[in-house]
Amino acid sequence: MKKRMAAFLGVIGLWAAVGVGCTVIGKTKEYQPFDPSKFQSLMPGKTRAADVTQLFGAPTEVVKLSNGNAYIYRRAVTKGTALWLVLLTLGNFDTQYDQVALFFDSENVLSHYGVSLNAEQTAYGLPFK
Amino acid sequence: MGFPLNKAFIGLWILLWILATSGCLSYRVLREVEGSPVAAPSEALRIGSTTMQDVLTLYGAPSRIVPLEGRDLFMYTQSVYVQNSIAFGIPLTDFAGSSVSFSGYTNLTRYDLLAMVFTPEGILEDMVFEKGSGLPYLETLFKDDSGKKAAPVP
Repeated sequence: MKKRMAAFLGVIGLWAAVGVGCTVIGKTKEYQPFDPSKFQSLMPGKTRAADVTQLFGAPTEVVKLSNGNAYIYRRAVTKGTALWLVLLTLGNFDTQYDQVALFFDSENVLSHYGVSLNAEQTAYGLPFK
Repeated sequence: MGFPLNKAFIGLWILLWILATSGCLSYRVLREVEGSPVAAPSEALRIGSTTMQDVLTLYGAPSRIVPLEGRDLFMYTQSVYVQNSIAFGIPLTDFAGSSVSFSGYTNLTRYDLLAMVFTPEGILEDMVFEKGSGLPYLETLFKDDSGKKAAPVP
């Protein structure tokens, strides 16, 4: 009987210790509606800056370079995880980007471009690595 | 026979004490990662011959593009911010007129960075790579070289 009581108290104690904790997960998006499948239609030497803005909309950023311009399209995903235990608080935030940089010569013709699509790799987790 | 029950009571009292003081003592670990891991410079990169297109094919779009005077700079970066903080406080204001409190924290941001400079013709002119995330946390945090002066230029 006493053993059962001890086990019962142990379970209550464990529940109290675990139950006072709290977990929060959250997601933040900086949205930019460019469609990666449309990059196939980009042709360096032919595509013009106006064609690019028709396809992808207004760029997030424009950089004036030494020999032309760069249009940058960027979107971000942040995933946050927080865990409150009795005395311990753990927080983790991971931010990854989808980014496209398109380079135009002084005639506004696409010379080359680069694509990094990493936003899908954003992950929830604990702050230990 | 009463031993397990006593043990359970002691355990319960410890738990109650932890719960009762949980508002007074806390330890927090926070980590913020921004950007993807930065790869070390590839063997394929050659100063004077590698083009901007080669770099874009290998590394994708850079995190930042910076115009320099007559040159263009690509920066691939990842930052890792870590905060550790501890706080302890006993609210005694109603009894003693003041409270006891103590708190401390450390913040450290480390960067992985690959910077590449291109000529106006789009040829790689220079590059620098720094792997900050590999530095040890405590050693980096407490190493104090902020007061050191740079060597005078002859």
